[in-house]
Amino acid sequence: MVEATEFPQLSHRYGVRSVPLTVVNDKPAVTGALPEAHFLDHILMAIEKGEAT
Amino acid sequence: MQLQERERNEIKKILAAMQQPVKIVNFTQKFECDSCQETRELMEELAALSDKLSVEVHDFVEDKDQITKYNLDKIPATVLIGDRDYGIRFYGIPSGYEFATLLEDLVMVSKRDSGLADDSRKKLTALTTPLHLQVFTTPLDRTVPKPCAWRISSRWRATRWWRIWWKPPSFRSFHIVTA
Repeated sequence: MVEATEFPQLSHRYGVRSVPLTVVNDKPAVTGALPEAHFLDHILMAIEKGEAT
Repeated sequence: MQLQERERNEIKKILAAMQQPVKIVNFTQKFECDSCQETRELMEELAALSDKLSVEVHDFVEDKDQITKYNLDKIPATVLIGDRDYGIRFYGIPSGYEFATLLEDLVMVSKRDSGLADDSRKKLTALTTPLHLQVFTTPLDRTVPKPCAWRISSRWRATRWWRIWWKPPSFRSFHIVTA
């Protein structure tokens, strides 16, 4: 957990506009709260995308 | 004093679910920033509420070996350690709704079980590279349903209150630990 208001530079770096924002391997990936299975799928997708670039 | 009597009693009830010891490792510095002091006090008060909880406080400037050990780059930082380091870190004060996350995580680490569904575990075991998740939150984040919400940050101390929130079981903690 990163408290967005206490670390404004980090929030700025990842472009945090709404919370919760989940950053996967240094890239903003999931906005909002999702059910577990759905959330995990988004994370896995972000990993794939990150590896492809 | 960060926690009031009524809050301490409620927290004790939640921590009663703890099964095995958990160590809270807190990082601050000699000249503590506002939230560093609050976070440290909160962790010390919390640790006193369960015999399964202990707290260790380190200095971010002086305890370089500990900083390297836990791989930290900012404070206040709070690490939860069970039989091993599950990679759970709280940066900034876990107040407001995040205090509920902290309590949930303490119980989870004490059970040595993430509570994730079997299907999720299977998918995570298939990972071949390290996964680093950072969840940005604010103390007043209302979009994440929590079983209970605690408003303890000094910024909100004037209107301190707590309430119980219903939470569907699918909303487990955000902290996913790779197998």
